[in-house]
Amino acid sequence: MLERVVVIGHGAVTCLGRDMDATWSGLLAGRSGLKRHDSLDLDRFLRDVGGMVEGFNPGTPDEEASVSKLEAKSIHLAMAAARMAWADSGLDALESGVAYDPHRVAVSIGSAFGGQDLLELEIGRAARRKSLAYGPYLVPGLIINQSSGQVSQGLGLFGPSVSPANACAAGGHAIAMGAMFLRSGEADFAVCGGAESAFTPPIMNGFATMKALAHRRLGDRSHEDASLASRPFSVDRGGFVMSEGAAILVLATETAARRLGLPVQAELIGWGMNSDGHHMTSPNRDRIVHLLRRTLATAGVRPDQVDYYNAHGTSTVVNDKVETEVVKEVFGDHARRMPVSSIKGAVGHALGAASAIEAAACVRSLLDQVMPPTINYLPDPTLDLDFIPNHARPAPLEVVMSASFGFGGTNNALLFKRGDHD
Amino acid sequence: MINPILQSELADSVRAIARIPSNVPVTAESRLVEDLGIDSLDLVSIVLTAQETYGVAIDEDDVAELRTMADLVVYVDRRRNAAAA
Repeated sequence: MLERVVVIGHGAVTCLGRDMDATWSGLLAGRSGLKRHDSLDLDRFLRDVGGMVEGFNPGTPDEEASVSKLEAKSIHLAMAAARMAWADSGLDALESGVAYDPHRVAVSIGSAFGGQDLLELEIGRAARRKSLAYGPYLVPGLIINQSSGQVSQGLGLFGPSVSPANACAAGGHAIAMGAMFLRSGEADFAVCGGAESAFTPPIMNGFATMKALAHRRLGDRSHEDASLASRPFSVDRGGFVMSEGAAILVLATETAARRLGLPVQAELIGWGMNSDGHHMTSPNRDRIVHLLRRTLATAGVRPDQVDYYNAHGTSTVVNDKVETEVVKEVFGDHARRMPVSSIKGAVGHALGAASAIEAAACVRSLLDQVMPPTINYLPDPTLDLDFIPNHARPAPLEVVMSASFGFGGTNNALLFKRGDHD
Repeated sequence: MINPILQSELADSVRAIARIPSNVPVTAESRLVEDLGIDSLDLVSIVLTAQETYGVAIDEDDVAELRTMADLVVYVDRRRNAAAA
């Protein structure tokens, strides 16, 4: 009998809110956390719209004190989200080594870019010093696994730790890997998700020159109102809007959760990962179809049993077209009835953290029995699904799916089922 | 003779970089490791910041010889005077 994997806690820090409650209420209200930022000055950046977590930078009074010497913002975001999720699970109130074995708690936190913001800072400092010497905290803060390392250190967790660097799918990969540690018997609990902060000129301008980012040209509806820049599945979508943030889930084997009497928020009944083997950036429809079908089949779920699909939905022309085709092919006639939404209109694209934020939103959807909308939506006649336009919608939800696709042709899908309820 | 202005500036810098709690005094006599809990990475960071702030050249091999705040202040002062000469 395979061990069941359950979600017992979740937390997030996003441009919509400093915790999951604020993020979730913003999503349900149809608010956007995206805007023009003075720090994205057009002398250095090709775009001035983003989704930043303001007042949370290293060096501010709100920084995570335990990681204060590491000036990579993604580590601070990861630490904050992990503490929230750990507290939400109830494990923080239990005694380590007595209630649970810290050697059997895994940590799996992904990121696309790690501490690129710190690298940018240190390049400037070395230039000012006219020196070849770089700060001693550059390397520890730059490495992508430092978020996992600091969360392990901060929460006193000594099981295996990994840090998938799977671009915009990294957070979902991290959750899948956390589940694999539980399923394989290597851990009883897994702290997993994603964290990202990559607002540097090379990263942002690199995405812009690839034509991946939304552009507030004169005449575009986001020219006057930047919050309209990200509009997944809309007829006039023109690219994604970069954001930052972190989200963490605490997974447990059902046995461990029941033994400690910890409430089950949702069950992670399926997960899958695969590769396009096709192109450095373009998604491959057939491979993604294969992944979604395999994820459903492995979990023993029929396509028509999925009540809601939380999309990757980046607001790029290509992704939203391919993903719509994938949903139609995988779900067949059920695709006409199954609501689909992308929260990236509201929280932007947090790159390696995005799929973890979306996973946390799926957990909330199941807990609250409501689906977040696709905001800023204007219909595209060629993309004819029910995208839950602009307003959240209550619905009886038993099974929800979330999928993510990253540059390098890396894909994942997560399948959640409703947990304990009255 | 320790330059009091430099001593004060470097004390602020050391306190900020090494995250020294406000209830721990940073004086000329403070031992960097034993009293202030500064580790080797902190010390390099302190010296690089001084290099940037005062425009002085610092030999990384000298850093290991710095034991107290007074050592640090005298060292930076000497390098600054050498640069000005």
